[in-house]
Amino acid sequence: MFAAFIFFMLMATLASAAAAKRHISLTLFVVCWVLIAILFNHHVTEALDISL
Amino acid sequence: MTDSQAHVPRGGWHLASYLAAHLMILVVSAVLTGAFIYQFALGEKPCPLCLLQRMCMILAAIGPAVLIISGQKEPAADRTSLYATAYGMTITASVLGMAVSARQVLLHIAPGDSGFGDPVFGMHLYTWALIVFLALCLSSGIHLLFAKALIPAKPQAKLHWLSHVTLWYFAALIFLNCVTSFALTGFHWFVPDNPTDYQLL
Repeated sequence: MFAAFIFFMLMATLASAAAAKRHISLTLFVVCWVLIAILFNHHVTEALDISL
Repeated sequence: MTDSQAHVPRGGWHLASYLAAHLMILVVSAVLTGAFIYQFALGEKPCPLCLLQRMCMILAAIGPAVLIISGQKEPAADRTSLYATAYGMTITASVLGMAVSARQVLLHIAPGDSGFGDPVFGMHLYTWALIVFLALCLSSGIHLLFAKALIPAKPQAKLHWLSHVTLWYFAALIFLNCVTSFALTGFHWFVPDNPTDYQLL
């Protein structure tokens, strides 16, 4: 569900870009980047059974 | 001048830069389409790292999309910052994507490990993903290096039909990824390490 939510956020980022709302698309871009990094961190730490 | 010529930036380098932005989105779209063919035609369910790579590729292609869409609306004074924002987006997303794909390459680098999924043209999909991220990063760097020559002086009148096709196809792929990843995980929070079935089907 988290992955689907990130894809939804990516759609929102593209939609805001299509509406030429540059500041909103930039903000959503940063939010997406952070969410992907959180998900990546989860899969790495879970697989290795470590905490960073 | 015909009507269609008026919608595309004039001048060799400006046109090359405009087409390169489309090419970056089309390359990402082609890779995502290939991943869908693997997922549905060959029945290979995407692992969590595969989905993360798809997300990073989409995020990297949003930069050129912003450039194509906003390039026709921004005033001349703001076009340099728009160019920097767009390719800055691509570079930061590609760096994250490289971290994810390098992690998956390293997971399967041990001798005797056959890797995850079937290879395509001799390399696995995550290795191709690493190459695509490197190419996106390099292309963005080159665009920024020669920004002065590549930024068009005049805005476009409106979007060319090629831009409409590219952007709508890209948007459709993001939507399909959203639907299929929801079908894969169902109401579970995370994707299992080696998914074997769709939770919602």
